[in-house]
Amino acid sequence: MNDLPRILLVEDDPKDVALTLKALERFNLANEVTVARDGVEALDFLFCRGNYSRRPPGNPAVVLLDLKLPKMDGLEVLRILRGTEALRMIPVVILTSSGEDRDRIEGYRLGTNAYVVKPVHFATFMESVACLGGFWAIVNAPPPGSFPNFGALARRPSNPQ
Amino acid sequence: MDEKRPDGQVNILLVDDQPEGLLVLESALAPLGQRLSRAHSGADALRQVLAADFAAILLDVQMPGMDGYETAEAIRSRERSRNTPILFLTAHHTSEVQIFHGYASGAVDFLIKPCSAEILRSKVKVFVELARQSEALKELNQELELLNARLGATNRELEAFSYSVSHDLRAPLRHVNGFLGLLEEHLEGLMDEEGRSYMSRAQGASQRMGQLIDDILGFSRLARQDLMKTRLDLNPLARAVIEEMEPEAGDRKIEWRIGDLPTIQGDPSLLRAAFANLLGNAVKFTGHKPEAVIEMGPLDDLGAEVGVFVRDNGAGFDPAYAHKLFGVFQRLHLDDEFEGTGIGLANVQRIAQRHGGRVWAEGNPGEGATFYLAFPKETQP
Repeated sequence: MNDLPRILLVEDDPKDVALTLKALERFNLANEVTVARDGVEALDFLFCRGNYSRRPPGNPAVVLLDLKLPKMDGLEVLRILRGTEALRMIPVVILTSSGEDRDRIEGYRLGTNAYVVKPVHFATFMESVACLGGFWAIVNAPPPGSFPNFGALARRPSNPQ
Repeated sequence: MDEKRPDGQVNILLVDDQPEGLLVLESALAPLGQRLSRAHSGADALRQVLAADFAAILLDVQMPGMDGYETAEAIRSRERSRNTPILFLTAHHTSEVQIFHGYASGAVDFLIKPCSAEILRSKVKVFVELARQSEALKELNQELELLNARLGATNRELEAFSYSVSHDLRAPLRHVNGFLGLLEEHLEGLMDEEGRSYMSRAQGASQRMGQLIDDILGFSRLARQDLMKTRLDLNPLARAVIEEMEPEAGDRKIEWRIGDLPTIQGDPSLLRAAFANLLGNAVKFTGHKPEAVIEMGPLDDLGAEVGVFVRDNGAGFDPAYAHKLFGVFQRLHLDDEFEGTGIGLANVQRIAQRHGGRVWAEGNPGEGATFYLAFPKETQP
């Protein structure tokens, strides 16, 4: 795990964490991930406080955000994120089991960049999550304040590590 | 005050300015065992009628001040007492004109004094019975309304429950699929045929579970989603559904015979789903026929309803099991004959019901099937 992870995965279920990391391996992104197990930990990371008070400054290129989290749910995290000057531009992809319209509507109202219902089908899940990671962490140029993408050049398909 | 006491008694109002008249009525009616109220004038009668309900009112015609006719008219003009039976009592020298006037004021009977006690009793008894029955009916209705409300609440709870459970089942299902998939990748090349067979069946079952969950969610959604009725010409709807189906049908030869379908008041997305189901079934169950014929047309001689039918010349079904066709997850065929979870027709029935309509079917094994979808005619714009 490097110090400047480009992906913040906010997910409480260890099985979903395992599956998501496996999917992100496809584009060699698994070691670009910090996992926060609930909303409070996620904010600790983003605000560089608590366990993360000594981490190098900078924002991840994307936050993969589950909604059903203990302590503080995903929408609350999003609301705080979007309400904080230094963090409000961080791309957020809501990655959730919930197909509920009201969650989707509220998510977009609060300013999420994308809303993805975790596919139930194995191959679809792997493909979708890998592509999400690939797009936001590699293809997309992140907003100012993000961790520099030192490893990106080295990790391009034409230059395998 | 109600017209009936808990012990089954009803109220009867006796109106006469002369005390002797009232006495005669009381003694004649006492054996009926009902509650007798007395009024000495039209005005008094009106006051009482405003305060209580009566099974019958015996009204003397000749009264000072407000006479019987005026009183009767006044009683009839009040909402609460509008339908209370009024029996006029008058001296025997009443002309036909007066009798006519009496009926015109709303009397149900005209009795000439002196009236035999027995006759009086039997006439009033009829109204006592009527009042009792009417009260019993009212109570039954109230009970029914209560049960209905409870049923509605239970239904909604059930819907919410099945929705939330299905929803919550998706996460563990995703995990099962995920780790089976990873396991399969991990054991690539290491599994023998038996192992691969177990793996494949586990994955197949998991897939099936996913399908069932999706179907429950879809079925549940049909009950919850808002109905948006609009003037809907069913012809373009049917054509659109068929067009969508063509690629699936592939290189099969299907003859479509679509008649002139009616226009109804309906929810486009729900009706579209219903058509997709019915037409999709027709395509599916004619899968083994070299030349499939699928017809769709209007239902003309339904009287108070308007509708359509879908007929195919496919596998059909055993009419002995027709009542099971529309059950949730009920199937009349095997998976290896025709795929499906058995939710499609349950969905169609639900859609029909939400429009106040109905769906039914006819068929015979090997001789195809016909499905009928009908809506109440008021739905026609």
